This record gives sequence, C-alpha cells and structure tokens, in this order.
Amino acid sequence: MNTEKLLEVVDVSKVFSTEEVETFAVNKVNFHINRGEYLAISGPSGGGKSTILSILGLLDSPTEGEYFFKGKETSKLSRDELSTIRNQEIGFIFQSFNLIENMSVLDNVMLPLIYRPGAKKSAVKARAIQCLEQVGMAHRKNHSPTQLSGGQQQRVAVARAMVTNPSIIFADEPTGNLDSKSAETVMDLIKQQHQNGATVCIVTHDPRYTQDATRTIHFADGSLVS
Amino acid sequence: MVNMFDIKQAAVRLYRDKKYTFVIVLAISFGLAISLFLYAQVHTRLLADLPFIDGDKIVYISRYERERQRLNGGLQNYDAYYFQQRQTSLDHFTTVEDRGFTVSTESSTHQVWGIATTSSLFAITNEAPLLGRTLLPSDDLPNATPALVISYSAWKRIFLGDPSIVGSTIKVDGKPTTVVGVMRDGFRFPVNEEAWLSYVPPQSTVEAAEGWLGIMGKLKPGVSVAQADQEFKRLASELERDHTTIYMGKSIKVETATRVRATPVMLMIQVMTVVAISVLLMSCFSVTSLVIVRMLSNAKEAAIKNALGISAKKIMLLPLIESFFLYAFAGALGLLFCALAIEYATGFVMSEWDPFWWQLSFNQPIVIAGLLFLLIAWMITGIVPVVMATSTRFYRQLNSGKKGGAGNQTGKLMNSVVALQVACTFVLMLFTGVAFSSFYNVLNTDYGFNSDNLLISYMKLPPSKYAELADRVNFYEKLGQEFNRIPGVQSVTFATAIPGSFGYLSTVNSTEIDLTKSGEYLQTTEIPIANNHFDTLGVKLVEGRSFTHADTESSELVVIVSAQLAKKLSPNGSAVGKKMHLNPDKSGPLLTIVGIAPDLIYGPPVSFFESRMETIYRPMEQIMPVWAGMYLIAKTETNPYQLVDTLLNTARSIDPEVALSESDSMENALGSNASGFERLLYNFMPATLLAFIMSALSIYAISARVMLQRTNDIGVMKALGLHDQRITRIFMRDTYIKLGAGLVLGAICFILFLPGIMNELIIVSYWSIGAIALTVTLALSILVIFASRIPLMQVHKLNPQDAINKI
Repeated sequence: MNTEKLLEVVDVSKVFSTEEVETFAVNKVNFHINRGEYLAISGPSGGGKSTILSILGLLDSPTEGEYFFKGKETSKLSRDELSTIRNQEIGFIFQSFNLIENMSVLDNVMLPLIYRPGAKKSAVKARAIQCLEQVGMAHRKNHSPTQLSGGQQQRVAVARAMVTNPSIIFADEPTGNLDSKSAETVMDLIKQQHQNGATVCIVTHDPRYTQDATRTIHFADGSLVS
Repeated sequence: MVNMFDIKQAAVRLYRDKKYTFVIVLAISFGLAISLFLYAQVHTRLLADLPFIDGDKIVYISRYERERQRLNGGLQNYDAYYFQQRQTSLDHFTTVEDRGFTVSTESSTHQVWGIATTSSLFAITNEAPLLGRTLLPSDDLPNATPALVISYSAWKRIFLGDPSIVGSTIKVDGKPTTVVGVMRDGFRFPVNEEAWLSYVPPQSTVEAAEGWLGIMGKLKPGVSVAQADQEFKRLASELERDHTTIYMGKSIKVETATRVRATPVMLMIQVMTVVAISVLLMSCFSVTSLVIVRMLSNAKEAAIKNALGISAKKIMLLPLIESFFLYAFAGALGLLFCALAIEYATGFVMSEWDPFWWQLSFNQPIVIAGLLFLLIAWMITGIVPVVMATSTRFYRQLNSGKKGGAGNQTGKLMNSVVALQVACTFVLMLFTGVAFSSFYNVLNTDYGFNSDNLLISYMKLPPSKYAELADRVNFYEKLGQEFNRIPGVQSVTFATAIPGSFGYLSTVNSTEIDLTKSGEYLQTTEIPIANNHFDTLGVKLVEGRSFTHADTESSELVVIVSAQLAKKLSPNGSAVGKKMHLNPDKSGPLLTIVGIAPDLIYGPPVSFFESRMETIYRPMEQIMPVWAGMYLIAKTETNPYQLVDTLLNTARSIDPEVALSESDSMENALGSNASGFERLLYNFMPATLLAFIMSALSIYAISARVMLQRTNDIGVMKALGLHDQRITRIFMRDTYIKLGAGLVLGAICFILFLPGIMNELIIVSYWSIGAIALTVTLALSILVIFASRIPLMQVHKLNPQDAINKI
C-alpha cells in the first residue's frame, strides 16, 4: 500500500461556544490518511465523526491545531484556494444526498466541472454521462432528482463525487437514509471507487460497512479512542 | 465570467417559478412606471428649461410682502421706470402686463389672453417669427401705431391660418392695431400667451396708480440670479424711503422665469418627489424581501455548490443573472408603462393653463432617470439578497435542515424597514383619502347661492370705446334688456366676479374700530354688481336693501358687505347705515353700508385664502373699473347650454367689437375648482394602491421567511400539543409590533405635515381626517394581518411530522 500521506490532522480541536458553555466537538485529535487508503470513522452519535469529516472536507475550519492537505497547511489558504481544493481534489457523498432539485440529474453531475476554467461543455457532458453509466443512472439523466428514489439519488451523488476524479472521496453516513438493498448498492459503488485507486474516507456507525475499510478509527466524545 | 450554463439555469428557474417572476416583474415595472411618471411631472415643472438659448438666464422680477413671503400685486409705472433707470444686472429690461384682449376683425370678435410688452421681450428669447416680424424698438415709441404679434394657435383660430393677415389692421380693445407677425407653434412666452401687444414703456417716477406690471430681463453675462436679486432689493429699499405707503413691509424678488412658475406649486412638487422616491423604495424593499425569501429557500443549493468547490463569486452569479433578467424585462415594461401614461394620461394631471414649456413628454432625461432608478433598484434588490444569502455558513445549511440563514441583525433591520413601509403607506393612504375627501367637498361645497340653471360668460369692453362709466353702464343695461327678451331667460345680471372665482382685492377699515393688523389693512374682495345681482343668484340679503338706479356716480357712495365682514366692521350692532373706509392706504372714499349679504365663497373653497368670505359689493353704476372684465350671469328656465348661441348672437348684435368668452354653466365653473384635487388624485391613487400592495408583499415575504426558518419549530410545537391558534398568536406577535410601530410612525409623520397641508391644500375638518385615519388604519391592518397569515396557514396544513421534517 502507498504510504504517502494525503492529509494529516495535528492536535485539531473544534469548539462550539455559547455565552455560557464551550463544547469540544473534536478534542486535540491526531491522525492521517494515506493515499489509496479506505478509512472508516465510526463511533456513537455526537462523538464528533461528522465534525471531523467537515474539517477534513474543508467545509469547516478547526478552532485549534493544524490540518495539512497534500502537505499544505489549510488555515493559510484563502477561501478561493479552499474552493479549488474542494472542487479538484475532493468528492463528497452526503447522507441526505444534497442534489439540487432545480437541476436535472445530468446537470447535477456536471456541476463540479462546469465552472472550471476552460471547461468545454461537450467534454463535461460526456464525462458526466460516463459517470452516470458507471452508477447505472444514465437512463435517468434528464429527470429531476425529485423523481428518483433515495437509492437512485445517492447513486447520482456518487457519480457527482467521482466526476472530477478526486484525490479523496468523503462520505458522511451515505447509507443513513437508504433501505438495505440500496445501501448495499451504494457501498459497492464506493468500494469500487477505492478499488479503482481513489482514497476513501467514510463516516458510519454501521459495523457492516467498516469491514471494507483498510483502517477504522473510533471517535467518542470528540476524541480519537482507537 | 458568465457562462451559458448559468444563463440557462437562471432562465429555467424563472420560468419554473412563474408566480414569483410575475409578482416581481409587476412590482418593479409598476413601481418604476409610477415613480417615473411622478418624476416626469416634477422634472417638467421644476427642472425643464425655457426652450430658448440661455433660457435659464431669463428672470422675472416681482414685488412681495416680506413677512408673508407672498406676491404683492403688480408694479406700477413709476417703480418699473425707477428700476429700469438704475439697474445694471439685466439686458433687455422689459415690462409685461397681463391682459385679456378683445380682438375684432371685420367678421368676428374674440377674446385673447396676452400681454402688453415692449420689443425687448422678443430680444430676451431671440425667437424669430413664423411670419412677419416681432415687436421692434420703434413700436415702443409713444406715437407709434399699436402693433400686435399673435401666436400660432390664435392665428389658426381667429384668422384661419391666413398668411395675408400680417400687415393688416384689426381692432384690439377697440383701437386700430397692425398685426405685424405670427410666432411659431408652441411659442407662448412668457407663460401661456396668445398675443403680444406693443406697449410704451413707463417714463416717469411720479407715484401714480398706473400699470400692473411685471419686469423681465436676461441676466448680463457673469451676473447671477443672487447678484441681480441683491441689486433689486437695494433699489427697492430706496423706493421704500420715497414711497412709504406702497413699499412698507415689501421688497422685490428676482427669480428665474421657470422658478417663478414652479414656486406656487412647490409644495406639490415636494410631495410628488417624496411620493416618487417612496414608491420606488417601497417597490425595491418589497422585491428585496421576496428575493431574500427565494434566496434563503435556495440557500441549501448554494451550500451544495460551495461544498462541491464552486467559489462564492460564482455562486453569486446565478441570482445576479436572475435578477438581471427580471430587471431588464420589468424595466422595459416599466418604461413602456410610463411612456403610455405620459401619452394618454397627461390630460389628467396637467392643466391647460400651465406654462407653455411644461410639456410632459417621455424624453431623454426621463429615460436616463428611469435607467438610473433601475440600476439603483437592481443594486439594492439584486446585490443585497445575494450577499445576505451567501454570508450564511454553508456547512450548517447542509446539516441543519433549515432553509433560512440570515442573522438576527438582518432580521431586525428588515422588520424596521417593514414598519417604515407601513408608515409610508399609512401616510400615502391618509393623504389620498384626504385629497379624495377634499375633492368631494369642493364638488359639494355650498357657495351660498343657488347655482341651478345659471349660464355664465365673461366679457371685457374695449377701453377706448367705453372709456366713460356711463357708456359702460349703458352697454350692460342694453345687453341685459336684450337678453331678458330671449325666451327661456328669466333674468340677467352682471358682476366682476362670480362665486368660486377671485375678484380684485381692496383694503377696508371700520369707522368704529381699527381693523389693521401689524400696520396692514384688512383685505376684502371688491365686486361691482348690477342692481339685480342677488335676486338672480337667489340670495336674500340678511339686512338692508339692494342697490337701485338711484345709486349713481352723483349720489352717496354705497356698499353691501358680507355678513362676516359686517361683524368685523361693526361688532357691537348692525352695520347698516354706518360708514366704512375703502382703500384707506390710498386715501379712498367713505362708503355707506346699505345692506348685509350672506357669506358667499369667492375663489376656490380652500383655506389658504383667508378673506374669501369677506366681500364688499358696490353698484356698478357707481364703480366699474375700465380695466375690469364683467361676468354675465343668466338665470334660465331650462338647460342653460341651449341658449349659448342665442346669447352670443345677441351680444354681437349690440356691439360687434365686444366678445363674450365661451359660455359655461355655473355648475361647471364651480366644479372646475375641484380640478386641482382631481389631478392630485390621478397622481396619488395609483401610487397609494401600489404602496398598499407593496406593503402586503413585504409583510408576506417577511412572514414567509420566518416560516421557512421556523417550520421545524412549529412542527415541534404541534408535536408538543400546542393548538394552531396558540401557535398563530405566537407568530403574529411580531406582525402586530411591526404594524403598530408603522401606524404610530405614520401618524406622527402625518401630524407633523398636517398644519402645512391644512393651510395649503385641504378643506377637510379634523373630524373627517380622524375618520379617514381610522378607515385607513383598519384597511391597512386587515391587509397586513392577512398577508402575514398566509404563510402561517400553509404551515398549519402540515401535520407535525411533516413540519418537523420539512426542509
């Protein structure tokens, strides 16, 4: 296995403060993810799994500590630079799919590529259709997301996550809103991405889906317990 | 950089959300059209220049009362000459005297409104005539043959456009006069004139009650209006030393010719400006509120895009393109609506008596203003919502399940603006209600006499032919006799003024008590009348007698006074039989009061003319100024219009050189007093209606936004067993606060404006205003509460679980 570090968190904390209380959602966490790894983050609800994933995905910033993505300390990056990394290096799969209802399935999958400088629509469209074919959703490309089942929506979300050939795919409880059959399908697609060389980081509390991971870490009360 | 993907997305979204697109487009287009239509009028009245080279340098000089800051009649010959000899600020100094001319040709006689002036007037404008020439310096000489220049419209109307009229001789006020030129179509300088008669300028500084002049001129190069004003004020102070009686408490004012005409309507211009800005701001705010709601409901979409690495700038593009489409379309519609309003509604908001350069048109400044309005509106309602929506924390949007994202500060700001909008709407509605009430009251004013079946016409005798009082009296007596023979005519009378219109003013004083205030004499309307005047109007004297043929030039000078004036002249008993001073400031005569008439209203029944009910009537056999025109009032048995032609022919048969103006019924003449309010209503009713709708939209948008943010909370409340009514009460509390704050603020604003409005515009009692305010409050409250409840009712339709899960 490749041991090159893709990302690393050092003493990272995330504190949510109110006037009276400070809550450590993540408390001085240290770990890294190697390129090509399939990391599962598990633990009970409220343990800090989703918070650390949002930090890793550059959706949120740590209160303390350092986060290195491909060797770059992310707190020193501008909003635009962070956007560029999210767009080119990261793919996301959310629990609630987060497809845009006003756009067709195809437009949703094209979305991450369409704003890239010099992007040609025909090439973007071809790549999006290719990804939809891989997840078995090309036949529904002109439908609205609202016309799809939950499982189908998540397959489209997987297509959208892989359309940019990202360095890493983050998946936050990707099967949380799905029936078991659809969940199996989606997890197979994610596994397939890993087998094709993608780095994967998945948050789940379902032990069935940590089995495919090359490494599992456990969060509880904001800390890494194993 | 905008790409086709965004353009397509924006178009698709607007097309899919047709209701939103429709409401926004209508709000912007109507807001723009109405505010632009009002602005076009403000621009026309206040900013439009005279259509001449250096038109902004043409000034008008008038005398005014220092204390009341109002005009004080015309200048006399001696002071005009005094100014002419000493002033250094103006080129082409000229006098102008407004006159109604009687123009007689071989075949017809006409009344024409014009001025007597010198050749300098045309030098001011530098306008060439269409035919012939303008007045020349040689026409200003004392022995020159009178020369007349006529307007294009008078040429067409009187001379049927015959070019050979130039050089021919006609009679003007009975004097042979040469028509020397015809001006181009549209030239009506200085105000709305149709004829310009040569005039020998004054040449003496000896004080005499001659002339009723205004002064005009063009500022010399490098001289400002303020500098000219300073010089004329200095000269006026010199005159005050030598002519104390006339000039005490008075001064001279120099203003641009355009400003002089704008000043009387300044209050209206200010109100229109405020309304135009308010309507535009209200439209902007309502649209902003709606756009914010839409942005917030789409906030999750922005968050998803952000998570996918699309930069904030690019996320902002889509709503900006959307709003650009909306504004481009709505702006084009708004400009079109405004152009149509100017094309078809000008007659409803402008008067035929307006100055000739007040031509409401959809011209370049209006289009530029429209585009500027549009740009500002787009920046306010396009950029603000986008910034607000993209300032939310994207990650929380993705996880929270709530759609709204703006913070508390923004919420407070929006709530304040909604309260302000309610306040503006309240003031506008109240103002419109008061204007409507005034309009109704003017139409239904009791002027104090029976106006049924009265026909009126106006005439002016040629001064040269009727120089003697006896000649004038004879003419009117003969005319009265001839008219009385016409079948259907019950009686005919004459007076220099009719109720509802102004007469000339005189000063009076009592012989019992001093009625002067701060050294100024009491002003009254003086009306020479025929002996049967009150009988014809169906008015019974309160006390005393009417005039008789025994009241002549050689008999005792007598007067009938109005009841209100009688009380002032003789507060401790009957005024009949007592004497009063007429024009004491000019050493006028003592008159014996022989009768007291009920109070009739002269002038429009608005409150700014304080002495409208203080009137003195004098027998026309004793006094009938040669310069004064006379109203003919005929009481008829049937519809007075049926007798118009007969009356005109009869008058012409007695003297072809006397012209009767177009005849009208008294009812119509009195009704024209309401035309100002009618124009006001045509302007403000659409603005008020729009403000009303905009308030509802804003309240709806704010409420919808709250519902977007708190649907889950409502779901929880329902799950905990709270009844819908209880939840409604909780959420309506904010609406009541906004409504209450807006109404209180609006009421305070209106109360602050009220004294000014009461003095200048309206004839509505405080009780009526209270009733209108109550009605407006009720209507606005119902609207606001209803608009606020719509989103809440939609949420109430959800069951608790759906409300909790609603994203």
